[in-house]
Amino acid sequence: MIRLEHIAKTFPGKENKVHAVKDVSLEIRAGDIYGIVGFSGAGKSTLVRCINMLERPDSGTVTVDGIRLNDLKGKRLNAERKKIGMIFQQFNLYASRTVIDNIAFPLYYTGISRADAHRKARELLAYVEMTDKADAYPSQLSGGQKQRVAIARALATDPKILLCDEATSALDPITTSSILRLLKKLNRETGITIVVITHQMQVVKELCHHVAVMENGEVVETGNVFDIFAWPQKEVTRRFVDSAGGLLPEKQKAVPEKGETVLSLKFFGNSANDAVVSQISRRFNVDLNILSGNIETIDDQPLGQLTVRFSGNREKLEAALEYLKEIKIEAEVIGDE
Amino acid sequence: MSELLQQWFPHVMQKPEMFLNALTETLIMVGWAGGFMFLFGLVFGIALTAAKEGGVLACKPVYQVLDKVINLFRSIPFVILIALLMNVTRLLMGTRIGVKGVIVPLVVGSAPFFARQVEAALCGVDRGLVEAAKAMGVSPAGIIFRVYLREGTAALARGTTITLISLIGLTAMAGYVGAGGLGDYAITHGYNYNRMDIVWAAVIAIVLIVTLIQAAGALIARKATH
Repeated sequence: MIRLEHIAKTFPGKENKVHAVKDVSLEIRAGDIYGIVGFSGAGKSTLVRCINMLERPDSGTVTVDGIRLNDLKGKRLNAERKKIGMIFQQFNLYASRTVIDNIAFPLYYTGISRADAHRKARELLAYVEMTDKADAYPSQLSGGQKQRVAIARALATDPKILLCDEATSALDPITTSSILRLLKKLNRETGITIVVITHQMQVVKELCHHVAVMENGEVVETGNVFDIFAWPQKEVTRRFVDSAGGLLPEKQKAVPEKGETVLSLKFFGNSANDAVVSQISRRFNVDLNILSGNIETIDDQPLGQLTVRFSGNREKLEAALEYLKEIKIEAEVIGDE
Repeated sequence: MSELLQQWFPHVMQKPEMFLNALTETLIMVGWAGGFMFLFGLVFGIALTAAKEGGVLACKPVYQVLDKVINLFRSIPFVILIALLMNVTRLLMGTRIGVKGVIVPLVVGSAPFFARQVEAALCGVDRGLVEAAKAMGVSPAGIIFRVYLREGTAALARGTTITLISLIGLTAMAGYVGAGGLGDYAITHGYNYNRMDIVWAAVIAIVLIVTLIQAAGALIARKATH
C-alpha cells in the first residue's frame, strides 16, 4: 500500500543542515495500523509528511497504491492527496466554518454539489458520533470533539489511507482512548490503512499492529507490536516499551540476598493465564517470592512479565528453569548471589 | 438647533454649502481611492503571501521585487508622491488637479501600506490550516481564497480600518492640487483667516468619519470571529 524506499530529507539549519530523515525504508500493507514511534526530533513527523508530499524528500521514492508520488505535481498530486486523509495534533479545523462546513470542505469545488457534500458530511458526523454538533463552531468544541470532526473531515474524500500526526498528543488519557477506539473501529469496518505518528507508546500498544521505532532520523527497529513489546532489541525501544507500562523487569527492586536468584519471567499467549508460580513452587519444593508483575493485552494477545525471587538450591533452580523452557516461558536470570 | 450652530460655528453657517462640499469631496476621495487601494493592496498582499518562501506559490524573485517596490513607495512622502506622479496622473485621469487628479497619488500612497497590512493579516493565519488544506488536495488558488482570505477576514478588516483612517489623513493634503476636501477647507478657509470654528467643524467631521469606519471594521471583525 505504502512503500518508502531510501527516504532522506534535510532542512537548512542555522549552522549545519539538519538531517531530519536519513535513508528510511518502510513497507506498510493495506489495512494495517502502523505506528511510527520516536521522541520529538526523531524525524517521524517529517517522514509522515513525505507520504503525502507535504515535504518532498531529497532522495528516495514514495509509492502509494502503485503510484510514485515523487513524480507528481499540481493537479495530479492533489488528486492523489485526496486518497490520503490526514489528522493533526492541533486538529487544524477552520475556525470560521461550522462543523458541517469543515467536514464538507474537502468536497467543495470537486464537482460535487453543495447539498451532496453536506449529506456526506452528515453521514460522517454520525459515524464519529457528533450529530448534535453539526452547526457548532470549532471554538465551542472540546479537544476530543475537535479531533472527531477532524477525522470526519479527513474521511470526506473516501481515502484509502489515514495519516495521524500526533493525533492524540494534545488530549487527556480518557479522550485519547476514545479516539483510539474510533480509529480502531474505522480500520475494522472500512479496512482503511492507518499510519500513526506518536511519542506515546501507549497509543502503539492500544492501536497498532506494526510499529517502527525512529531515532535520529533513522528507523532502528520494526516489527509487529507484540514482538516489539516482548523482545525489544534496541535501547530506545526498551525505553518506549518501559514507558507504556513497564513490561521490563524493574532491576533496581530486584536485588537478591545471599543464596537467592532473581528471575524475570515472560509469559505469552495462554501461559499468561496459568498459575505457573504456584505450580513451580509445589513441583520443585522451592520458594518463589513475587517482586513485581504485569500482564498486558497487546494486539489481542496476552503478554505477561513477572519478576520473582527464588530461594532454594542450585539443582532445584536448574530443574525449574528446564521446566519453564518446556512450557515455553522465557526465564532470564537477572541477579544471582 | 440652528441657533446653537449659528452661535458655535458662525463662519461655517455663513456658507454651509462650502462645508458640505468639502465633506463630499473628502468622502469621494476616500471612497474611490479606498476602493482602488483595497483592490490593489489585496492583490499585492496576496501575491506577497503566496510568493514568500514556504508560500503556496513560492517564488523568490517575485517576492523580492514586490517587497522592494512596496518599500520604495512607502518611503516617499505623500506630498512628493503627488508631484512625482503628475504625468502618470494626467495620463490615467486626463487631469492632474482636482479630486480626479488626487485619486492616483492617494492609491499609490496607500496601497503599498495596505499590501503590508494584508500580508501581516494573512501571515497570522495558522500554518497548520494551510497544511491541512494542502493535505486535502486543495489547489493553491483554493488555499488563497478558502483558507487565507476566509480565515484572515477579521485581521483583514482591522488592517483595512487602519489603512482607510490613514488614507483620510492623506486626503488632508489634497489641497495642494486643488482637490479640496475637509483638510483644505480647514486650512484655507479656517486657519488662514483665523476662523477657528471652521477648523473645529472640519475636525469634528473627520472624527465622525473615522469613528464610523472604526466601528464598521470592528463589526466585520467580530462577525468573522466565531
